[in-house]
Amino acid sequence: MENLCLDKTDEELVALVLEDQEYFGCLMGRYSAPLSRYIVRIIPSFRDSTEDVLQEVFIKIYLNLRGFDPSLKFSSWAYRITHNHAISLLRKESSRPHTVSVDNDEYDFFERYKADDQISSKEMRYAKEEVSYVLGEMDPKYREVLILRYLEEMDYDEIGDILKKPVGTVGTLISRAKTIFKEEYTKRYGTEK
Amino acid sequence: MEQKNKDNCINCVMSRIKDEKIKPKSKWTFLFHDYSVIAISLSSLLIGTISFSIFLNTFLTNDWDIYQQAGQGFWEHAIKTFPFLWFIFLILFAFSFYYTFSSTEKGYHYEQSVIISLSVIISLLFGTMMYLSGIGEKVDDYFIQTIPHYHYVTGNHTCLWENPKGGLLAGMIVSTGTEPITVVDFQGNTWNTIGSPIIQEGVKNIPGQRIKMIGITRGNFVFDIKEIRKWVGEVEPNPCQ
Repeated sequence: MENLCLDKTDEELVALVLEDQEYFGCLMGRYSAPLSRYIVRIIPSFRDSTEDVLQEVFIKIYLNLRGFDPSLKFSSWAYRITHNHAISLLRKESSRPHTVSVDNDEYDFFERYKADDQISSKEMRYAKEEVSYVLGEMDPKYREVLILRYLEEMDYDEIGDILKKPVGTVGTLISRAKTIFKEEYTKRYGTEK
Repeated sequence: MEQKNKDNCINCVMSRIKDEKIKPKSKWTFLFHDYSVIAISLSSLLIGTISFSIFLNTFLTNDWDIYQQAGQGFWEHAIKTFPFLWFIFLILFAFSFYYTFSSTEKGYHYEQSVIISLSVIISLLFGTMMYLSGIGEKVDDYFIQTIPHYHYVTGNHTCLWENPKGGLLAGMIVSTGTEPITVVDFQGNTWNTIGSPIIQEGVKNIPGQRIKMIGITRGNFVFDIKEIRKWVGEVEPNPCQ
């Protein structure tokens, strides 16, 4: 089945799944890694149960397949469902500690952040734990836009589609989130390294 | 996610789908949801529009021409008779429109300020048209007749018209004879009237009709009427206390 999926777009696969549920395996194969990584980032306290959360997300995606709007990218739609599910879990479990996962192999957060902000690049790779801590301390509405922008590397349109917010609002949220991030970082660790 | 965990997850989900016979929800479920949201959204817009037409009707028929005669200042009169309820409804349903419209498939693309401004502009535009076509007045009259104590929330002018020495009198027509009319005011006093008044459109010169009169007190319960206007709404008990 996996070979049959290779040349198909996500949108074509959605149409195929509605005729033959086996094709859903193809979609899950494509999205299990990015969505599980996103789940860990957005609700790090569920790191141990990521697989369970991901299963619930896939069941939701499957249930709602006929509600998929083809004018959206499937990835945005899938992330939106994941995001909503993660946020509802986060609300139920708000007492758990939050430290956002910033893995070594993807640690370019500050590089992208600085490029976006047109700040001259300095070596910051060693600040992984600090970034994790500061992100974890932030209000979820600011944390999630920084994660989507600088860890998931999404553009403003995609972030808008996932969060169901206008692009202008996404820009404002990112700008505020960066200011808050800088303030929190400076407060805790002094000036940026 | 490691390949082993990934495969495990996919197999688990596929097994659940098969074992629990999970099927994607029907297209109708989503269409019903989408159309419901659109219907609520349009209803909010319509209520906002009707609210503004009633607001306009109430605000513009606020006896603006006689408040000075009644000894009131501009702001005192404006605040006492401002139709707050309908103004609040206009704002409330503009926000209701925003929340429902932004929940539609494409609605979230638009900024809050754009949606709310659009809602208010549409309500003002069509509300004005409804007012000009008389719908605002008809709806207001309907509420007056069907909703008890409606005047408490829309303002009442009874006190303003209990001032015969100031030339303002209101009451109910009890008879229409050779003289213009006989009126019993809201305190129960019977007034004989004289004069050839201008009669506002919509005033029925029949017993039982409540009217407002502008004129001059000529003696003991004799009122020289210059103008007769239609009384709108209920009579407030003890209005000047």
